[in-house]
Formats: sequence, C-alpha cells, structure tokens
Amino acid sequence: MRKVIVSMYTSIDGFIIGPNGEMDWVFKYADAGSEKHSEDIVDSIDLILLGRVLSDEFLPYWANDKSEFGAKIRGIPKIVFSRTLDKVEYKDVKIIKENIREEISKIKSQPGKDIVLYGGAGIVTAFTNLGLVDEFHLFVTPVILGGGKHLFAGLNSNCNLSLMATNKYDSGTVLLIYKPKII
Amino acid sequence: MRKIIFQMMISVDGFFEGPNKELDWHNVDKEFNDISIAFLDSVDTLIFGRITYELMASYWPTSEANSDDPLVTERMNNLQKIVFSKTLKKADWNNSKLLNGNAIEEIKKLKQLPGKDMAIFGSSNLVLGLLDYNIIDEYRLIVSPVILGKGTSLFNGLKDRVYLKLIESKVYNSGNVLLNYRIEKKNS
Repeated sequence: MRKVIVSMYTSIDGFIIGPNGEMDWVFKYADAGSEKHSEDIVDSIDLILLGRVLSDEFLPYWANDKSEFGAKIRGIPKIVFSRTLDKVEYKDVKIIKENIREEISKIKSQPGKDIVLYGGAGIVTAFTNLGLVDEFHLFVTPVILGGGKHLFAGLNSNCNLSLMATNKYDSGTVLLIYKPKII
Repeated sequence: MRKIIFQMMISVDGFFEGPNKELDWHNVDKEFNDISIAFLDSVDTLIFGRITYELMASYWPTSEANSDDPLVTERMNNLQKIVFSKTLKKADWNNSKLLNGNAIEEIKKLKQLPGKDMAIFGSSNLVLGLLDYNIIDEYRLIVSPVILGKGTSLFNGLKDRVYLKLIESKVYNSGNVLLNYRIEKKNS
C-alpha cells in the first residue's frame, strides 16, 4: 500500500513557525544535504498533500520556482484540505473538505507511488490522530524559537514512535525518520 | 576550566514534561542507564533549580529508587548537589548546599574552582536564566521517540530566538537520539 510521508522542518523546541509566523530559519538551515533528501522524497511520490494555510504560501511559490525542482513539483498532482475553499486557481489541485479518513484510505489503497504531506500543523495532527501517517521525516534544526506554532498541537493522545533512520547535515540540522509504533 | 553540562530528555515535539507534569513517557533502558552512570562518574557536582531539586530529593533517597536502580541511586545520593532558590529554607538531601544568591555569579565562581565537570538536570527555569550568559557549555538533549502533543516546551518563556551549534549526535538502540549543542549566538 502507498505510504503517507510527513516531511517538515522543526526547531529543537518543536515549533514549525515562529511567534510572528517566521519561517526564515527553515531557509537558513536547509542545505544541500537536507535538500537532497527532500528531492529524493519528491522522486518517490506522485501526490502532494497540503493544509490550506500552507497551500497559500507554497502554491504561488512553486508556480514561480524556475528551478528543476520547481518544474518537477509543478508536475505532481496536489490535494489541499479546506472546509471553505471550493476551487484553487492552480492546475492539478483537488480540494478535500471532509471525510479525510475515508478519502485518504481510498487513495492509499489505489495503485501509485507514495504520498507526501508537507503540513501545516493542523492537518499533520489530524492525520496523526486518524492513524494515516506511515512515516515522519523531521528535520530538526539547531535553533530554539521559544514560541510559535507547535508541531502536533491538538494531538489526542501520546503517539509512540519507532526510530527508523537518522542523518546529519553540515548546517547542524538532523533528520529523524520515525514510523508510528504498532503496539 | 570545568564545563557545565545541561542534560534533559524531550519528546520529538520538544516537550520536557506532559500537561500534568508527566514524565512517564521517558524512554529508559539498560543502555541509557549505563550511559547515565558513566556521565555521573564524569562530574562531581549536580546543579538544580528548586522544582527539580525537590522532585529528585523526594525520589532518590527512597528504598524504591535503590531497588530499581542501585548504581544510579548511589551516585545521585553521594554527589555534591547545589540548589538555587530564594524560597527554599533548607536542603536536606544528602550532600546538598542551598544557595540563594545570584545563580549566574555563583556558577561563574564554581567554574573557576578546580574539579570535574558539573551537570544540570531538568531545572528549566534556572537554565532559561543562564542561556544569555554563555555559562552552560553543552546542551545535551535526548530526544525520546514519542509525540506528546501538549506539555511544557523546552525553554518555555524564552524571549529571543537562540541559534545553536550541533557538537555531536548519537543514536541509541532504544530509539533515543542524543543531540549535543552549544550556543552559537543569541538573536536580540
């Protein structure tokens, strides 16, 4: 079955954006090594999932990204989760409004490559609560933000993980790859 | 000069305790215990804030601690302990010293004295107050393989972002990952 992979950058204190919405630290710490891992993920998937707020940032950014990576990512179908949106002006973007569990389970059982979920926090927590995530690829950056939006805020209960692999990059960022622990 | 080493276990999402101060998620096995013993043997002083001191002082002298973990217990009870508090009246745990002055100045003085390294466990409020002053040489964060979703985050109450430098990382069989940092610079 196709896997759902969550791929996100986080501060060491567990924030995915700073207290005033800052994401500059992600760009500071994303280096050739961690970007290579992100590119490998993109090569292994054929569907991108995004929360609505994040899609407002990422879709226009990717539309104008002149790099090879940009071209590649424009060619991959996407799903945005939103209760309020009816359509998105970018091509190959579907909207899922409700029944996330059913919709995603159906997609996972169809043939295809893996699926990546880039966030944000709300949809990642919802997926984790629903048991829909197969792998977490967390890039832990060497910065303490002290506040902001917390990764997994609103999780129903503790989620035990198994560590599958790690990697370390020149910037001091550490990649931690986990899967949910089956008890 | 002797080093000050801060060590704390955190969840994958950066909490050091659950919403009701739970620590039951701590992922501890024999390998972790062996490492703790080696670490305790490399230091001669343990430094605490009041809350962590009181928690530890209520546990390590008990017979329960001794039967669970005699080697760690013996070391925790015998090592020199320093607790910083303006409200605590006395510190009764074996080999404890209560200091109510300025922690920054006191720790600077301790670092000048001859001796082995010194460790700070937990004590998040104390550590938050020391972050600015380049007093702590190593921040050893042990990431336990669990997502808590809520709790108190590491360095809760920090005003300005702090950039760190990764000194070393280690992966353990339990799934714990040690990330050892020093402060690179303060953004203010």
